[in-house]
Amino acid sequence: MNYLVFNNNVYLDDGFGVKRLEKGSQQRQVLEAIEDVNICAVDIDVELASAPEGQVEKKDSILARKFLKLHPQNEYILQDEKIDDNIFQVIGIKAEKVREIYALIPSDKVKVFIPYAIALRNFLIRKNIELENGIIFIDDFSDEKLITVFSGQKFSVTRTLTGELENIWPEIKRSQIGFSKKIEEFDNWSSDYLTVITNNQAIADYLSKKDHNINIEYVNVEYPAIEGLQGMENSDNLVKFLLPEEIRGNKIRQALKTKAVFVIASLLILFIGFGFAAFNKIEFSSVKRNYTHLIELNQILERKLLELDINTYREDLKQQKYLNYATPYLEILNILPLSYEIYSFRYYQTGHCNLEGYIYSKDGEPFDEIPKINILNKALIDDYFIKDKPGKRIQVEL
Amino acid sequence: MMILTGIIVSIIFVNIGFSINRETKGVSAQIKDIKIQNNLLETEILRKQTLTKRSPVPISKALSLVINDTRYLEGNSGTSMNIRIERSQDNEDIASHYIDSQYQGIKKLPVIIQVDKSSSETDMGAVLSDIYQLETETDFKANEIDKEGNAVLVKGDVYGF
Repeated sequence: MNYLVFNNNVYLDDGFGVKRLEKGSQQRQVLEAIEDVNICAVDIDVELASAPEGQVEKKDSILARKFLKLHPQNEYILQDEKIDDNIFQVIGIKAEKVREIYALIPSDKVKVFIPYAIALRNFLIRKNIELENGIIFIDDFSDEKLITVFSGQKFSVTRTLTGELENIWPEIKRSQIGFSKKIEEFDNWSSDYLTVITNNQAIADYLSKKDHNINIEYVNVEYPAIEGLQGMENSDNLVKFLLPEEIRGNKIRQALKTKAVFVIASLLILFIGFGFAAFNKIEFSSVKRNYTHLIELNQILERKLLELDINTYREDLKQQKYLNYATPYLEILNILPLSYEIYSFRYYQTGHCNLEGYIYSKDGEPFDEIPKINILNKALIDDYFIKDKPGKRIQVEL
Repeated sequence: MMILTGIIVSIIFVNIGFSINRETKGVSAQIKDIKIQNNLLETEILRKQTLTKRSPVPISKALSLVINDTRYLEGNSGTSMNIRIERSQDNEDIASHYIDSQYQGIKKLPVIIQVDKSSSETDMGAVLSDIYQLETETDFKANEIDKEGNAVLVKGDVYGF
């Protein structure tokens, strides 16, 4: 990640130290080459304004109207952050400045684009410096000093001082008074006791000699705003200044993206349905082919069997006529005791030949036992009533 | 709207898919049956390929051979064999009584042979032997032989084309 501070000069931290880039072709060349970047810009205007926070569009409209009333001479890109209930800090950066920055770095490379004061405030919060009672930070950029006043989340417009060290005290006072006036409607900030923080030892020494009533603190950080920019891309409350055309472009891109998601989702759903139908169709074709093949085979076999049947049915019939019906009849007759007389019998086919006979005893003689031997070995013999006479039924499978 | 259209069209496709799937299952069941049928046919063909081939005979000729044979048997054993076609009237085209047999391309004619003059068990053995002889010498196959008292009824079929 790269970090940039845009002031009269551009300060770049590319991970190998902070470089000051002078305006010109070299600056353009360096900035074109960098990838993801967090930016802060010094040249911003800030106002406090009240607006109902319930409806976002109405709030934006009121804040914009109030801001532009105070700064009618330029076109501004605005962002706001909530300070208190229905109170907002409206931060405006000239559209011209945003265009200039985006002309140097494409907006898709810019992850964070915030005011310098927010980056500085972030730095101070990380350093656990209490902002509620108000502090003035003097940031030393060697040839120029940046003076920003903080009271809680609120901050002033950053003033740039390029003159002698002696001029710093009046400038601090002017900044303090100007900020106090600006926020008096919303905050009863007392400026009697001041804390001044600076990253320049000489300024700290000078101010401590100048007024013993102010609390002077020195922080040994060369570029506090750059430190404040670090990690801001992960912040939830992100401010990024975008040009109206960029916002419109983003909206169009977002709409196209949503549309594309819908189209893809629709196509996916469609594809699933189509895939299911197509899969079944392919499976059906395969099964149908198999079926057709089997039917063809069946027809071939049927024709073959027809031909064989015509030529072999006589032989087949002959093979089935294996049984001389007299043989089992006479065998049974030989086994039956003489006391029995055959009343009737029947040969019938059930896949194989069966013999069923009905017998009764001659002249009412008592039933002799029928020996279950030879052909009658597995015969089924049961008592039966034949023509009003007791008899027996014999069933033999042949 | 687009997703809804996608879902509706997808549902139509899914329905088509299910309908094809049902059809596939139906055809698969038929395939199973045909496979079983083909296996049976193949087994039957293999068995019949081992049989001796003989020229087929028209039913009318087969029937006349059966009648001739009964006459011959009557002369030998002293029995009386009356042949009639099952469920037929006098002066009727016998071809109308042909029915499909278990052999493809071959028909059968159901006939009943009534055997009389069988007066004792010994005679019955001769009658049954005659029926067997009739079967072996002709294309007649008995399905049922029924004897009650002295009457013997032989139901069977004469095969031919």
